[in-house]
Amino acid sequence: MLDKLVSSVTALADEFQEVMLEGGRFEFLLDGLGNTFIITFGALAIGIVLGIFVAAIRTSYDKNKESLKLRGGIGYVILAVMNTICKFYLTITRGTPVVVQLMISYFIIFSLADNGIPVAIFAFGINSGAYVAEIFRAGIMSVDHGQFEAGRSLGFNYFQTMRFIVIPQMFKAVLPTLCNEFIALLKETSVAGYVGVIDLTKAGNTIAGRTFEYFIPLITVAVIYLVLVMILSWLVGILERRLRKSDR
Amino acid sequence: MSKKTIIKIASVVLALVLGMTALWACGEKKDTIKIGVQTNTTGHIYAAGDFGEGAVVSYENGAVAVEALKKGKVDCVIIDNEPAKSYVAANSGLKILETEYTTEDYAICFQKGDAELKDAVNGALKALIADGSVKKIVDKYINNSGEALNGIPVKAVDTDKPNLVMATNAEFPPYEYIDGDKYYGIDVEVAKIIADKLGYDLVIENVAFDSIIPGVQAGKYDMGMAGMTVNEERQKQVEFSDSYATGVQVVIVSEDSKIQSIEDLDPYYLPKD
Repeated sequence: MLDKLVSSVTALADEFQEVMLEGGRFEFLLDGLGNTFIITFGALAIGIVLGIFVAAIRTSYDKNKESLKLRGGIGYVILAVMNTICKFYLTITRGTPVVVQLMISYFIIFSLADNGIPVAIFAFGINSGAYVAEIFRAGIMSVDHGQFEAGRSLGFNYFQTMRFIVIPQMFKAVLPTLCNEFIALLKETSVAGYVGVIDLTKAGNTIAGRTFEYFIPLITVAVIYLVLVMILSWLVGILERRLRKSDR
Repeated sequence: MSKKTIIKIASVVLALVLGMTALWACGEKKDTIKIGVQTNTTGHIYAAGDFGEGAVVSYENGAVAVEALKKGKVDCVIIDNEPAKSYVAANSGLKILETEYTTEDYAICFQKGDAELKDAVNGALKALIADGSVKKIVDKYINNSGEALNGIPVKAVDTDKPNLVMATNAEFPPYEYIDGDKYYGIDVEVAKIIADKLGYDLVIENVAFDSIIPGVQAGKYDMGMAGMTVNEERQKQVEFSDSYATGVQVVIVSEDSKIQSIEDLDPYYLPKD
């Protein structure tokens, strides 16, 4: 029984050696992993910045439209136009698959670009921004309106209330959902192969195509994604615990 | 820090990131070569071996690779001759280099050890090549002999005959493609006459090219037929029938490309050790 186990483990190790380690294939996979990282973090940066903007515009409009309308003037018009643009962006981005957006970016928007990676960062960033925006907006809306009123009655203006009272509470509330979005983004980048980028998935697929051995490359790629996601969840867990310290 | 300052900083960061992405994306080209291929096809494997993985950009299918060529994202596309002809005919400004890149034989693959089916198919194939049936099909698709094409409905029609399940990737005209609700192509029709001769009912499974060999290995499909070239690596995984057609890998370029003959590729070959 034990012998059998040992021999099958050795056989698997040998196969792993043959399929993954020979002929520089592991380096190829690491290059793919590197590209996955670059795309994920680049897209994350664009997504968060874009998300903050869109969420700020959307919530400002929702919270202030009555008072601004009463006051009249250009402020209301500007905010209303920006809100419409944001809504349009959200509809388009969330209403179409990310692969299609990626292909459109590659072949139509950046048709002159010959490097797929920046195009992928752009496409995934724009896509992620829409989801992050809605996460932030939900977070801001979930903070009790009493908190907002308390801030205003303490003499804070709208931005100060947001900055010192609403946003800190919002951030804690959205952290798990935000983490979810990052995990989804990391895995979503696996379609970057469509625009000729060698990411982790594509690298695994190429190794499989070269060796005609599917089991080991696929399992290796799956394990790498799993480990990455586990590390990410662990880090967010630590952050959540630290933010919760002030609760008591 | 007030909210305004944060917004200012954030907008500058966003502008920088977007600007740099745009600049990077449109950056100037160095004198390297980019070769478009279809993922995990013979062209991909040969090109990666000859020019290095870094020189190869692989796409999901040939049409996407050709689109990338048209947009100048790659300098040339290495692909099978017959689909290449269709792509060039459909897109102006493209041409096929006169000298081919490589030549090789196409065959049907079976699960290792499935000698019974392999021998039966080889027997049928031999007879069908001898009586000119295979040639007739090839002429229909390649030399436009004008004879009517004989498609296989995508939705399998049940008969009382046993099924012969063939895995293919129907994105590879004229070897296999879908038009309307039927499969067409050289492979499809050759498989059909083989199945008829052996008394089977042909069932076609349209899967990714990459999934054909693993599926045949696992016994999910009886055979794989997708313009598949016989090579050593593949022979380790599956059995191959006799060849039923010859495939030629050619280079497609745009008319204003820096590659205008097969010799223009020479400087980009990896040093042989």
